[in-house]
Amino acid sequence: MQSAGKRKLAATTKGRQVKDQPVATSNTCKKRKRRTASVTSVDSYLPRRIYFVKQIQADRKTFRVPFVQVLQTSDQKGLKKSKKRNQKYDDIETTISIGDTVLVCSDQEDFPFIARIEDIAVKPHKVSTNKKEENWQHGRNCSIWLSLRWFYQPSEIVVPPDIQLENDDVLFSNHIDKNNVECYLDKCCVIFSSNEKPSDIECSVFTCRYFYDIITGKVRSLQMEDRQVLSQTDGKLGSVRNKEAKLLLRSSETNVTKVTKSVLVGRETEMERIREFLTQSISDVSQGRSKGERSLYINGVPGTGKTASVRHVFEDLKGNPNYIGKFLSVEINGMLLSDPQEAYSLLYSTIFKKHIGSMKAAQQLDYYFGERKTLNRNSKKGDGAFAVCIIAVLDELDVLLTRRQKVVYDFLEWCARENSPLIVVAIANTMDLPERVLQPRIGSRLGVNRLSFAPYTNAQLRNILDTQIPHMLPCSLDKFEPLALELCCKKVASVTGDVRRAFHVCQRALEIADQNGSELVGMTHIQEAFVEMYNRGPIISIGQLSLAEKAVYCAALLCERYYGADSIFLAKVAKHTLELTQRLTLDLELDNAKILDICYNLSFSRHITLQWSSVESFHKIFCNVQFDDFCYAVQGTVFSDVLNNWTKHQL
Amino acid sequence: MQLRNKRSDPPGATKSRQHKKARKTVATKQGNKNKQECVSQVADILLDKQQCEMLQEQVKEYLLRKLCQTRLTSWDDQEFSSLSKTIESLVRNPAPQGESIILIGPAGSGKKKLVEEIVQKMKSESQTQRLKVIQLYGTFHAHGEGPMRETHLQLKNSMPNTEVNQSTTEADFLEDTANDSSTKYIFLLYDFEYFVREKNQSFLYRIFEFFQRNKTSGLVLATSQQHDLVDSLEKRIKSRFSHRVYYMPTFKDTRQVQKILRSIFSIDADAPSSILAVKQPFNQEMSQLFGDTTWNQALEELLKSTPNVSSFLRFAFYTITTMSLDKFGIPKFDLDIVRHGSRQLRQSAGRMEMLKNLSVLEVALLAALCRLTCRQLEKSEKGQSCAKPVAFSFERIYQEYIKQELNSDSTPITADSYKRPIAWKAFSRLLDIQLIRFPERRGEGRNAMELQPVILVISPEELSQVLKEHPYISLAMQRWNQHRKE
Repeated sequence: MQSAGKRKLAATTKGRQVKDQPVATSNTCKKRKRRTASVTSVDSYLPRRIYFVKQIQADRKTFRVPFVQVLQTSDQKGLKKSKKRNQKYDDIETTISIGDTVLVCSDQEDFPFIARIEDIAVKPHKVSTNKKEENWQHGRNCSIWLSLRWFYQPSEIVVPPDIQLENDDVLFSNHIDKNNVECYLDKCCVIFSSNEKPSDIECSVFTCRYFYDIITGKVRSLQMEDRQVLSQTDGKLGSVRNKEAKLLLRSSETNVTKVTKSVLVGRETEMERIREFLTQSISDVSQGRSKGERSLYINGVPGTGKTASVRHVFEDLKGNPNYIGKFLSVEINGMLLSDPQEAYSLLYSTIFKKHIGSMKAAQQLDYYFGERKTLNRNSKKGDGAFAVCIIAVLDELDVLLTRRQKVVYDFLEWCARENSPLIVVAIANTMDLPERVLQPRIGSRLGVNRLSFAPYTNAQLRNILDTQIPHMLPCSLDKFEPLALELCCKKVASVTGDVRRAFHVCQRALEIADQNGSELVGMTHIQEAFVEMYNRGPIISIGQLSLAEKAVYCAALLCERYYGADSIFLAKVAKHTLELTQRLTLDLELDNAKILDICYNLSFSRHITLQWSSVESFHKIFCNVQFDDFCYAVQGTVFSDVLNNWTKHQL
Repeated sequence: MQLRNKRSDPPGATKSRQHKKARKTVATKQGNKNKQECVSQVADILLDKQQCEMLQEQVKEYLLRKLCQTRLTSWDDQEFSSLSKTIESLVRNPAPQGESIILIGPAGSGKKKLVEEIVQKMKSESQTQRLKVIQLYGTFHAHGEGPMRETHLQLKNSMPNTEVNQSTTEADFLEDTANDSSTKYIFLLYDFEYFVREKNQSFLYRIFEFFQRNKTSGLVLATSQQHDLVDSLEKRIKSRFSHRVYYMPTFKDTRQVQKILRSIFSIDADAPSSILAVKQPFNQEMSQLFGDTTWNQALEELLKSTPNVSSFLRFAFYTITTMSLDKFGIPKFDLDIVRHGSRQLRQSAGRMEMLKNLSVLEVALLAALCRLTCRQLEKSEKGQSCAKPVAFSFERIYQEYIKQELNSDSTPITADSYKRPIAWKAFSRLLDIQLIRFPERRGEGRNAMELQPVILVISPEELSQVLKEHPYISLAMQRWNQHRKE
């Protein structure tokens, strides 16, 4: 690699750091070997790409390793690792995090290298110091190392003639090595597909379409696995217990924005409450004010916009410059976890960007939240403030409850601890969950701040439908008659106030109108949709039964009327069925075995419930369809006569 | 008349007597005049015996293939086609927040067949990359993490590049592909009730939440037998569930079924050339045949008991297999066999067959138990109607049997009264074939087997009905029946 050779020359220009480098680099090598065999084998082929900062600007000569704060460290045999930190010199403050693409200085001033940060490590210069933490808290005797995955530029390599590369093209490579943080110049942006548009990014943008294999020197187009390598920004996908559970879980971090892009209407007051609560809590945490309620309980029936409101507020806060970088949010949906315990590992992965097992995560988190407390006490200063507070949204709280309710208790306990950065927003359907289900010690921790989402009223629903129909349905608002919408809203509001239901009804009505060929969706269509969706179930299903099945069912219903619901046995039903078929002169050729067969079929379709007994003729039968429903369903057939006059015949 | 005689010759030597008889009973009744007409039209196609057999096999094969390939949607049936059309349109343009459809119908009503046809059609229309179909069976997969695992696996297998699959086992394919908005997901959940029974119904929630959050176009197509399934969904799932419940249609009219049968039992223009020769007489005969009253009766019988797709297909299958062709390409059917066969597959007569094969001693023991039970029931009906079956121990039954044998009034059923060990052997065989049963789980070692009470599984009426036809003891049983009535 001629480029690497070039870079080697630049090393001599360095002053102070040269002394430190050899020690550090050897450390790096060792560490890398220990990690994975595959990486080492790659590395052994390669010249090490280590760059020392060529000091271009005068003020950078006094460059130190300036920390503002280190969020978390884990001690691994003298090796400090940190996930995120702020780097500051002069007035410029930047944050480098894993997964960023950065420009790295090279020996040519106007030709920086491009790389992606895979990992950040902090190393003390002297391992044996007693006050390790303090030392590198202040950023004196240690240095930061970035492991970088390089993007090659076309001018650095021999490009095959069949590939046309443009000026701003870069090539993704499998070349990873470690460098000091001081070679960092600026952030940049690399996009991987042409349709992806860089939205309002100020830094320079490169496109990446090809992959450059550092060992073979071949260039090929990007494939699936490369994208996967790129997507592993949140640390290594390690030991989460069941990978399948993550299938749908992971999207919660990335896709929240999609939903909440649209405007939320009808929940202005509630959203204001949530925002107030969150901003209050965040400022509490960041100013180190302890104590104060940092949990909120939100309840409401399904489809009243609880989760959507919370997400919307988050979105707002994320866009607000006052709160950028001040909080991390994680949404933990009880239904999406296969086990409530996994909430721990989800929270852990949000804070530390790393997946570990749930039990270990629980321990670590407990230590993390507890450690802060002791630390602050030791320091005896008021600055136990957190720059970043963590907001955990516990969605579908009732599912997160285990028998001992440990998960929920832990979350609330951490939240209630002095100076802990955790804020809990719990969401559930039932209004009195804290009193009814939760143990008193948990309920008391949760119960103070409450927010109740009432079912949507008629006007609210109308408002929502007016704004959302163009987004949700493939037609404009003009397609609906105003009266029809009014009817729909009123009907839904009178039953559940579930906005999802309103949408479903509208959609069905739209389809019905299309089938009938009418231009507008009128009230009749809404009515029809309602009937089709919610009212017709048992009647249709009885209509689909065969004649023999109807006869058996009719006999069972008559027995129920005559003997009372508790003591209908199969033998009796069989007897009466045979009588009934004789009386009605239905030519059915039924016998006991056939009737038993029919009863089994009916019980599979849940029209009747069979209670088992060891003797078949003593099976108990319960009818699940109402007498009147059945009468309505068989109107006009031979049975309706019998059913209407059942008292006269007395069986 | 010469022609008439020729036709009455046995068409194949292999044909059984039954066929001949049936031919007489069925085929001769059908309008002779019509037959003669069509015979005169094709009088020049006279085939010898061997050719005739070959032709018959070919026609059978052709018809069976046609039956296998028949589609519910292609039937001349308004309800099936309209249902499939609505579902198809939903599959084509699902709502952005996902759709959910449940097909409800009893077993054998063609739910799965319909779903498969639709999916097949969709697959042939669109690119495989764009459409991801995930098939889950409630009985296999609905346990804990089972559905997620299976979904994962099926998505992985649907990826085109096998190398990628092996190298990246941990990747989330659902997530990777979800970013592509043009991909459609179809979850086929057979036996939906099993998914509903799962704890928290979390899998369903995950699917719906996935659709809602990612705005992925996709739909859940579920089949179930329970008509009130939607009520058993949890509240939060119900809210996400778009209430599309469709009930599978059933056949209501014989004319409708006739139409479909006619469409299946006809030789089309695209048939192989060897059987095209008999096309005209065959089709003509068929259309007359299905209008016939005997066929109408058979079809009506079918509709009354099980008017669903699977029993209809079974009926058609039996019709084809019992078909025989004569020299002129005119089909004949044995309607009795068709009826009998399609009924036998309904598996209701099993116990009756079992009763017929009992030994004399076994029958006698059963009769004794039956008598005891009847007596007890009569007694209890005078006072209160009892809900519990009455049970008797072997000792009691044996005594009753001996009493009956020694009673001078009645004719003994068995020739001589058997000793206890032999009777015990017969008794334990009855236990083995489950005609009598212990009412509960036997208390272990509490009592001797002889003293454990047992109950009669079948009803006395059933027993007496069957025993009428029993070869050895019908006479004795008649007497016993009389005795019982008194």
